[in-house]
Amino acid sequence: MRDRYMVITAVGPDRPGLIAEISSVISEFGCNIEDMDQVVMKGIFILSVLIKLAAGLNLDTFRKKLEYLCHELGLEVSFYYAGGR
Amino acid sequence: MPEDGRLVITVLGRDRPGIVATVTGVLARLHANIIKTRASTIFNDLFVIIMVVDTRTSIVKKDVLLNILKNSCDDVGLALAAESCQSYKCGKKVIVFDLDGTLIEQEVIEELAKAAGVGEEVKKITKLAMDGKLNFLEALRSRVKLLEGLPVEVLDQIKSSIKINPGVKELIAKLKELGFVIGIVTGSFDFAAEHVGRMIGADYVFSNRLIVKGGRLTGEVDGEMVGPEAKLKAIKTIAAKVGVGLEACVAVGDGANDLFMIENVGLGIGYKPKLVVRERAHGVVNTEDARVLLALIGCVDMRKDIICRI
Repeated sequence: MRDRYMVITAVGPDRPGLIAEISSVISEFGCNIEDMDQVVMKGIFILSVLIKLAAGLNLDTFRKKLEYLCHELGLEVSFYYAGGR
Repeated sequence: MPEDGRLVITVLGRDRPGIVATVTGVLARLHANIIKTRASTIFNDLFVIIMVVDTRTSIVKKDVLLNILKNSCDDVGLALAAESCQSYKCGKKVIVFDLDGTLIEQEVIEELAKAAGVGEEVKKITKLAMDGKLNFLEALRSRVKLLEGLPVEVLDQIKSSIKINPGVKELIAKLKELGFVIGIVTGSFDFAAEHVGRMIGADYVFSNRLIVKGGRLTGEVDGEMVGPEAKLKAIKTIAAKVGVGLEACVAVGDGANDLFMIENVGLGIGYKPKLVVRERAHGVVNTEDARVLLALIGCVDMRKDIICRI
């Protein structure tokens, strides 16, 4: 099976710990961060990550968990399927 | 140097899920805020994170934060370094290495001692000195004294048995290609240091000169001995010749006598360091993989997957 990739972006008010929270969910689901950029602009946290989806990942559960987390953190989150590579 | 509480932290690990989570988890628990991150897989098997971290909100001091990170970095593997933004931005021009334990496997003095039949006595003194429990220069003087009468032919035998650590030649070749000025600054001895310097193509070699009379060692060292302070002085000399400041210098070493230079250059790195060095160095490297040290000193372009100056 080909590797599957996804880009996740998250935007919202900055505070310490946001990357830790998001990346711990990503690793909890066995997904690997391949590329990541993050900046804070005038107090707004902007994150984009490219992840390789784990084989046999339940995408729906993964997405819901991240959506729920980001909602709690006050971040807007989007998912883009980046296909295979 | 003006302090603004910001640190540039570089972390390298073998690529696997969980590296970002581990490192940022530590920072989050200490309430340090990450204001910029660039992270990427490089060369297919390594993962590098470069972050600008604001430590002003941290619940612990910067050096404590760094040591907690170094410990967590052992789980991630490989390497970690932290620099002030000013030091990071200036770009590095000079890199200086310790010899014994860093560039080469052996402790040259111990090889000499074995040949002189005083191996055990010298080993004891070396251990105390490397752990910082004994003044380096006194330790050196008393060890060299034990070598009195050793024929010079032994030096040639030891020279030919010197093993350069894996990855070193590749690392130095790459550093030269990138325009670095390379120095060996060591409390070890001239015959070994200059030999290694020639083999790897070092631009400068500073070491201790053993005095030979009538084909035998006199048990004395010539001129100013290279101890901790002289190591820093040697780097200053190289930096002045190159025309840069200490912030543009990288120092790599493993023992207590390297601490002074490691703490005072722009980026001081402990290579498989002894505990005292590990606690106070700006960075630690736990692997022979040359790519790791190159990435740690900012010589990797993550978008192009190649090593270059960025």
